[in-house]
Amino acid sequence: MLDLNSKLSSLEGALKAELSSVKDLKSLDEFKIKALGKKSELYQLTRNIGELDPAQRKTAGALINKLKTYIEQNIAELEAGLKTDDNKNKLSSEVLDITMPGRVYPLGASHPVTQVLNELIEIFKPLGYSIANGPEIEHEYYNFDVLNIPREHPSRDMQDTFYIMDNVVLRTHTSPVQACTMLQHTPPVRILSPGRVYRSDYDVTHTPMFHQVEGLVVDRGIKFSHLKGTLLYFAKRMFGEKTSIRLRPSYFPFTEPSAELDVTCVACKGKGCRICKNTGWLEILGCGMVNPNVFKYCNYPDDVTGFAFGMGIERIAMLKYKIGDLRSFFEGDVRFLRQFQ
Amino acid sequence: MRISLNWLGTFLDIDKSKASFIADALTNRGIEVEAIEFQSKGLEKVVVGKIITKDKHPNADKLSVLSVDVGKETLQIVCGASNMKSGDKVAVSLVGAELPNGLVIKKTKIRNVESSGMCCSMSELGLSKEASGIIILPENAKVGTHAAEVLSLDDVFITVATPPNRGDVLGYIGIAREVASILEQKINYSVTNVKSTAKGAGGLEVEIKDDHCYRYIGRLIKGVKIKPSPDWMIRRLEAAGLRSINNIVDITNYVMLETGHPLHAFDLRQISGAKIIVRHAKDNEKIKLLDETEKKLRTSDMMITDPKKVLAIAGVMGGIESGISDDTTDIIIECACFDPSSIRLTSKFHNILTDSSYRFERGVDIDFMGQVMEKTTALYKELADPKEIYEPVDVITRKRSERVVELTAKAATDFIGVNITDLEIEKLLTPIGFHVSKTGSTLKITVPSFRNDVTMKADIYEEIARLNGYDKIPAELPAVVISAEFSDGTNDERLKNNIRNILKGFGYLETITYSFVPDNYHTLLGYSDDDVIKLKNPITETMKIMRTSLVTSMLESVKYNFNHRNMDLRFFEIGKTYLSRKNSGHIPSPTETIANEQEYICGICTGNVINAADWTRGTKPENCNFYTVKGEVATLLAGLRIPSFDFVDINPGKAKYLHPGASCAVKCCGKECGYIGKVHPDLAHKFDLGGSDLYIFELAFDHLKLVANAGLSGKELPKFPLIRRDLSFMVPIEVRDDKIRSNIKKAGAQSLKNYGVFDLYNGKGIPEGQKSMAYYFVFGSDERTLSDSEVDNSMLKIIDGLKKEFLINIRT
Ligand SMILES: [Zn+2]
Repeated sequence: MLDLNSKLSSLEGALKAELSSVKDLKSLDEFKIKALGKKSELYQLTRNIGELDPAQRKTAGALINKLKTYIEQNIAELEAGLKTDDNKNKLSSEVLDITMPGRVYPLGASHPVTQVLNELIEIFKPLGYSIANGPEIEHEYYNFDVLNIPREHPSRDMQDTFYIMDNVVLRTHTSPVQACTMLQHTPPVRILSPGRVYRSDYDVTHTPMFHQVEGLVVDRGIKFSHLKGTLLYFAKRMFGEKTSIRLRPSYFPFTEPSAELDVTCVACKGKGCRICKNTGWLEILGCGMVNPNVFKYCNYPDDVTGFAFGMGIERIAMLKYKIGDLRSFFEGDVRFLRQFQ
Repeated sequence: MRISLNWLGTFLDIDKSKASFIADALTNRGIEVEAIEFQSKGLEKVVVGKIITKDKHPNADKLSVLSVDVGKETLQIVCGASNMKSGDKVAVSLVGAELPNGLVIKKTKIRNVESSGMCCSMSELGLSKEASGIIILPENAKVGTHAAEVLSLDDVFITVATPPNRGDVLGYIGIAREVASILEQKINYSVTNVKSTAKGAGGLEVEIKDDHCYRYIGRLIKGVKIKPSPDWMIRRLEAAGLRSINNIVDITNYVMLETGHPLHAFDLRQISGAKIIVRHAKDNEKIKLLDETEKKLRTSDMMITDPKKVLAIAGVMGGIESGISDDTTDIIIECACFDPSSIRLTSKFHNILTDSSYRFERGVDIDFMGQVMEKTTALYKELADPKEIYEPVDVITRKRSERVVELTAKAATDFIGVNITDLEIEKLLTPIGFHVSKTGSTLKITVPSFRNDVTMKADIYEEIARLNGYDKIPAELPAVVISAEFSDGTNDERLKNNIRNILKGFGYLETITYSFVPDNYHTLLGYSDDDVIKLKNPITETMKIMRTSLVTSMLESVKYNFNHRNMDLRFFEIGKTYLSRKNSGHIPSPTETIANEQEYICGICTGNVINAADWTRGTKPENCNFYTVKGEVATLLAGLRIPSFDFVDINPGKAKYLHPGASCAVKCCGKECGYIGKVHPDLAHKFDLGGSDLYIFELAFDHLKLVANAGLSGKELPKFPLIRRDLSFMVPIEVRDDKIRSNIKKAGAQSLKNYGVFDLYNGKGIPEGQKSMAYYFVFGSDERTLSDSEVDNSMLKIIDGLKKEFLINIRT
């Protein structure tokens, strides 16, 4: 027994000394095998227990186990420590330069005209407007006559209108769509007609093709005040809650009364600036109550009333996105288009 | 029209300091004020000075050196004028003045002599455009006081833009009427008849042979004296932008500005038999006009003539021969009323726009013409010392019928949305000349003769709304009425936005190009002249024909971008093409469709498809090619939920704008509806894009919208694992993927779920005429896990099938 005791204590000393020199997980694994493996002294001692007196076996076994447990504990502690260190090393060796750019995909963009049009549709949809489309090559009859534009009206001139034949034009507004809708449907009518329109003009503020959206509401009991309410709703959603509107009397052959709509200048918020010529207001669209003569052309009953409004989409886009030159909308320069991602 | 408030102030009480209030009120009534100008602006530092000495400039013959007393000090001023002498009172611009013409006065040296100020001419003070010499002020002008006061330069001008239907406000009286109702005043305007000094018309005869002339008043005045007009008249004409000519001509213009009614004066000597005939022009008749241009007339042009010749284009411009000259003594004054459309058509056709035609086009007051003539005659009597004034000759062919509109206050209230009473209507309308009477609840509203634009109820509602103020109208939303009928366009827009969003994800930018193209583009694409729609009046050479395809528009945009050094491009457009319906040689009736307008989506790309400066991908650019575009189109179609689509060979003769070996047609649900491919080098060359690889796709939106948005249904996910096998083999280079795929399909291998090519190689190590292809095969069962031997059997079947049809060489 004494013999075993001294053996165990010298083994304990040797193992502890060796363990203290273990500095990494790999040598710890080697140590594990050396200290506890099948070739280890401890294992040998365990196996030799059978050779002892039966009376001494129990005590010897307990002593050996105690040392084994002690060594195992030490190994576990050291292992936990080494693993933490190792993780730290690994993480620190994996540090990235997070200031380098990520992989960016080239994102396309909708045309600014499309974006404004979509916004307009979203604004008017909840009010029950549907979208109506129509041809761009149009009969003079629908482009002018039905809209109460007299034969000698200046807008019919070759200087302003593109002609295909004597009585066929490129539509100068999307109003023919409204007329055709009324000719095909009985009231109530509530439509938005967007699209390309054409006028014979070409400079910084005019292009021979541009886009319009026109709205038309016809029903019994439609009032001028409904037009005003609709335009206020539109202006606030398009240009911001704080936008005010102002209606000024004007003249269009297809509406009576007619008005022009001004909204608070988007640039100076009404204080007055170069863009609004110091008035604080910007002219946005033309509108009015549908002229009874138009209803007559469309065979509508006498007791219906309605309002219509029309605006240039590019004009809105120029104000909203601060675009200076109308022509840039149609040049297709990708540097221009990319700004509207 | 530029209105002088001093002049306007002769018709009603005007406080010029309230000019901006008046301007705002006019704008709110639909007579838009575009500008307000104060005449004294810029003249704050112009004072009365007295010339004490006048000496010759030592270094310049034409200059004088003046010493001028300006009150506080005596200034030395170098002056280039010669019309002054010592002792004269002059208008001196002090150093620091900024004159109306923008000139800033500084202390300066002129030919080595110091000059501290400037003696002003009329034009420098914003008065007359033709200035000769400096202004000599009256002797009693007080030295040192404001010259503007001495010269009565205290006017305020407002420039108004009148709406095209309001002919009545093209004269001072009309504006005065509106302003008077704003200020709640009555206008003070009366015309007293001038006593004729001679009995009868003095031999003047008037005959109207063209019924577009409704009324003609002529008057003979003999022995007038031609001289300059008085200063006050010149100033008033100049305020409106008219040049003073002589008293005779100026009076016609002056009365036109005052009343809005154009007038004309003829020289009696040039009028045969003192007879005026209003008639149509004869074919090929010509006239030399006052502006010395010669016009060849059309028979629809209305002319003022004498029995022998044409004298003037009625209502537009007088002829030079019958005009007033320096030795004119006897004149005929014309005050007429013409049909607005007739004047418009003539003025437009001959491209002559005058103050006269402008007013006649918008309609004049036929009932007021007598007074206009009297007013004119009165001015001649006052300013031209006539010997004899004859009685006027007045011929009327069409009398104005009185217009009465009946309505109720309730109807007006319902229409405008503002509560309005009978009394309020009367209060609003009466001051601007309407007469309102009442029977029961109905209001009878008599329209004044000068309001040609008011004919029906809606016009009166407009007057009420406008005079009451648009700002008083409440803003309210009408009740929402949604009709199921109108939905087509909404769905189209949604689908287009889907397309845009998917293409956006690939990096495509949306563009919008002009619908018209040069007149050779359609031939480049194989269309004939009969197929296209031509503009009768194109604005430029490059915008003559409605495009037959978006392809040329895309190529043009590529060219534009290349010219601006944008080399890596991907963009698309959704837009229409326009084709003639061919049978429409005749003038189509309104029920006929004129053109085939079809919507397309067309995209183009060239160059690097990814960010060229992306370190994560290395420095190698990834150029787009046929397969990148084909893949994008396939992804797009899948994203639009087209239930089935396929890419097939292009039918012979079609889509010749594409490279024949690198292009395909797109079939959606069995119908061909587009093309993908490399742009044919010949076409690229025509756009100076010869050296570039351009890939393009076009899809017919009109077909896509019929088949897109197929319904979705979720399926149960596979319960058992899928097994993938790969097979690579060499095969003759001409064997196409579609042939291999259909062969695989034909083999009918059990449990084959999915298959396709995943590698293609024909580089080093592959024999000439061969290519190496690798396919993947995915097997699976819904009932159980497949065994290896089952999959092996299926693969054997596939390999057998391939071997039977192609000379393939399996690679292991
Ligand atoms: Zn502003």
